[in-house]
Amino acid sequence: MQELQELKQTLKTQIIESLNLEGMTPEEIDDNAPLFGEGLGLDSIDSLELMVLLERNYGIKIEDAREGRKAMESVNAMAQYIADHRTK
Amino acid sequence: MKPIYIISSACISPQHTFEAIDFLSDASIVNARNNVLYCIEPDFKQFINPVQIRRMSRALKIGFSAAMKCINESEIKEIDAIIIGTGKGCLEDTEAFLHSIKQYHESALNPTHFIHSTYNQLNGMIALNKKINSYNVTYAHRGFSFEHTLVDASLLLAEGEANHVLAGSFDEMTLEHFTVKKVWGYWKVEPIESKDLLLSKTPGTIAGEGSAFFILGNQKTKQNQAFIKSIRTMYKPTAEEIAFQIDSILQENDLLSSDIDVLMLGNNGNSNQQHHDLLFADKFLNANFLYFKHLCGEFDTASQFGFWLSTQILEKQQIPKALYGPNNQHKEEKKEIKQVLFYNNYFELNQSLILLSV
Amino acid sequence: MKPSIVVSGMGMYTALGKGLQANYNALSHQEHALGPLDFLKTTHAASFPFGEIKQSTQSLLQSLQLPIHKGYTRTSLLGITALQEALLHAGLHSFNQLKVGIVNATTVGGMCEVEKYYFDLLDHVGDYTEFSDTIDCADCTHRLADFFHIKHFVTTISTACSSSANAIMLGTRLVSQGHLDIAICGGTDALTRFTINGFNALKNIDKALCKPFDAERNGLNLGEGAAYVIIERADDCAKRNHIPLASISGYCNFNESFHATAPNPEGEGAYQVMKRALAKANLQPHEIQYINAHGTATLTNDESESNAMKRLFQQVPAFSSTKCYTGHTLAAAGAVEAIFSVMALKEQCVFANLNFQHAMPEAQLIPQLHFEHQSIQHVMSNSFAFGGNNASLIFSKIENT
Repeated sequence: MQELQELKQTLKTQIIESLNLEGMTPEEIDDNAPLFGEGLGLDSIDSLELMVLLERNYGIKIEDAREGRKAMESVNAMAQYIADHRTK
Repeated sequence: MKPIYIISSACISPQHTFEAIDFLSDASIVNARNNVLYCIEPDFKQFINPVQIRRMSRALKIGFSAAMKCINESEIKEIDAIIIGTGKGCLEDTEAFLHSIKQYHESALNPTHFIHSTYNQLNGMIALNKKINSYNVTYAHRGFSFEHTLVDASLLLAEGEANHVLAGSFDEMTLEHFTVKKVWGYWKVEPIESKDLLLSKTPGTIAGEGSAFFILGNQKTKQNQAFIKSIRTMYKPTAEEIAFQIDSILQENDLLSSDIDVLMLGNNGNSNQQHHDLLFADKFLNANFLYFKHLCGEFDTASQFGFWLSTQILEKQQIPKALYGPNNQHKEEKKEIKQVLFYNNYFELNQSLILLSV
Repeated sequence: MKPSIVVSGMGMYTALGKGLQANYNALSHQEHALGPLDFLKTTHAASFPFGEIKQSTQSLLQSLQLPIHKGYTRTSLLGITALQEALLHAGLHSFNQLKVGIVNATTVGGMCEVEKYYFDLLDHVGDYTEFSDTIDCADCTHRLADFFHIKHFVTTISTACSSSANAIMLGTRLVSQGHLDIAICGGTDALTRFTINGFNALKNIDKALCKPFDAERNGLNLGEGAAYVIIERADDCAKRNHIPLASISGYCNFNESFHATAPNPEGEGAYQVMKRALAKANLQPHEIQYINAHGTATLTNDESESNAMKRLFQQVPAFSSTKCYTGHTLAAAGAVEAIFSVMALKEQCVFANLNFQHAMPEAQLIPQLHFEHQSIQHVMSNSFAFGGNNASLIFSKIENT
């Protein structure tokens, strides 16, 4: 459980860095808030950038953009997906 | 050609041209350091929202801000076309993508750099941001990139397909591209002071960058408004061809060479290229010879800077001293500056002549 | 009264083959040219099908009798080869006093060579000087201009995948307004690691053969090629006793300002650009008998283009994407497909859309599935690009009088 908490924290920092969300702190990202559309307001290019993040940092290769979008619905969903699929 | 009026303009350059209160006063002039002039960056956040800015590289920020200021100041509600010139596009992104292909062995690459490496990115961004659903084209042809935006705009206006056109250009200089072009001999080996550039007898020049945008229309909208009368682009012309085109422009506008008040020349101090100084000196006895590349450096769309200066001189009826030639030679202050002939020479390949008036 | 503008010559080189005839033969036999790479070195060489031209850069140089080590990139060489055919086809052996200009298009220019030497250049090792300065779009245009002695007007347009459609449009306008007598318009793009990795980063390359307009489509296949058309005023063409191929009756460029890389799924931009091109041509939708669609086979393009066609045409005419034969040739695509459109008029035929099985559930459109001869008066060619840049061209049959 604690591992997942730590993972979420790291992940938020990585998201901020990868998407260049200048001025944003990890605390400002809600675990459950949707990353795309309403919540953080990210778009399809961001989703591709997040897939790069997953591949480079966790060795997770998502081939299908649609599956990717699902895995990245929120920080919670993403952390869980990483925990389940990570190869590094 | 029907007159094309400059309705508004904005210019980001290595000089204080974007927010300047004074017009290139001597005290404000910025000099090249290590043979390169970088833009004075405005506060980009004034022009770009936080969601967009996070993915934009420097060239896009510079180009986008110049375009936004130009649009905002024009008070034109409906823009019918966006035409942009860029010699190299977003170099920083192109370079970053080349590096990432190597670094990550062709897998898991950031798409953003690739997207931004496409030459029409800025066109799309401006259209998206300002909801300009219209004609939209990008010219990527080295020293003609800027001039051909004006040519296309003149066609659109003549066709009646547009009343107001946003035309402009941008190029950036990255450290990497500076190094690459240094290997190819574009820049001077010895460091040179900006003020000494035009007197230099050595090969190469200094590097620069910038962006300028203009709203163009075929109706006069204000007093003392600069307008374009003729444009010529010449590919690898001989001296005779340049002289022929000058005569053709004068004839087209019913002017004598003595009617030209100002010559705005794109000399870059490169001893390896012909500057045709004599051709101009013999022909234009009444004109003040002005120069601009010691202030903006050489780059594919450097002519945007000289063109912008020409429009400002016509509208302000004022010539900043910094533009006078190497020996500070200039004719007596004239009563009125009416005709400006602009000539640019991009490494002899792409050369252009533009006649402006007020 | 605007002068009537015609296409008087065409030339091309795609994976389907060198020259108009080879391309037409492949299309009429429904034979595509997509497969693994033989020449370009990339880790993706065997992972995706590509429309690679099966002639080495070395051999291209030799067949044009050009010197080695003089910086001719593959992009330039493909361009020169295609343009040679176009000028011959137009019967233009010399330009004499004509005002001749070139409006070229490319998306990556000499990147095909630069990417091989770039890091040597940065590290100052090896031989990297040959391709100095070919990194931009203008280099290949200059090479073309120099090879064919074109001086009057020389430019390059780069609007991603619609580049050469826009080049054809500019050339038409320059000739129409009398700035040029002859406009040479088209585009050239060689395959590069740069573009392959770029489109792969966007996750829109299909590992299998692309399936335009199919419910199961899963991305595009990349190709390379060069294609040029010769454009002039109809009366000038008649004066030099040359029989034109088709007239350029309508065109439009329209930005839909929707998204950096994705089209509006409703197809607003595609709809507007086709509608405006029709208006320019003074034609009603039902007068178009064939559409050479953009049809990249990406999820978003084909959905958007289908919706636009359904909205504009009460009954959607025969349409197909020919990118399943050549691959997406990027800056050359607009001109390649303009030529296919003119071929459709000349040969009175429509080309088949390959690899199609199931209609998209939403649109329920079925493209042309077989090569067929039909009566055709007017053809539309669509090219859509990144940044919302849409272009549509209409070519019409010239009646023999």
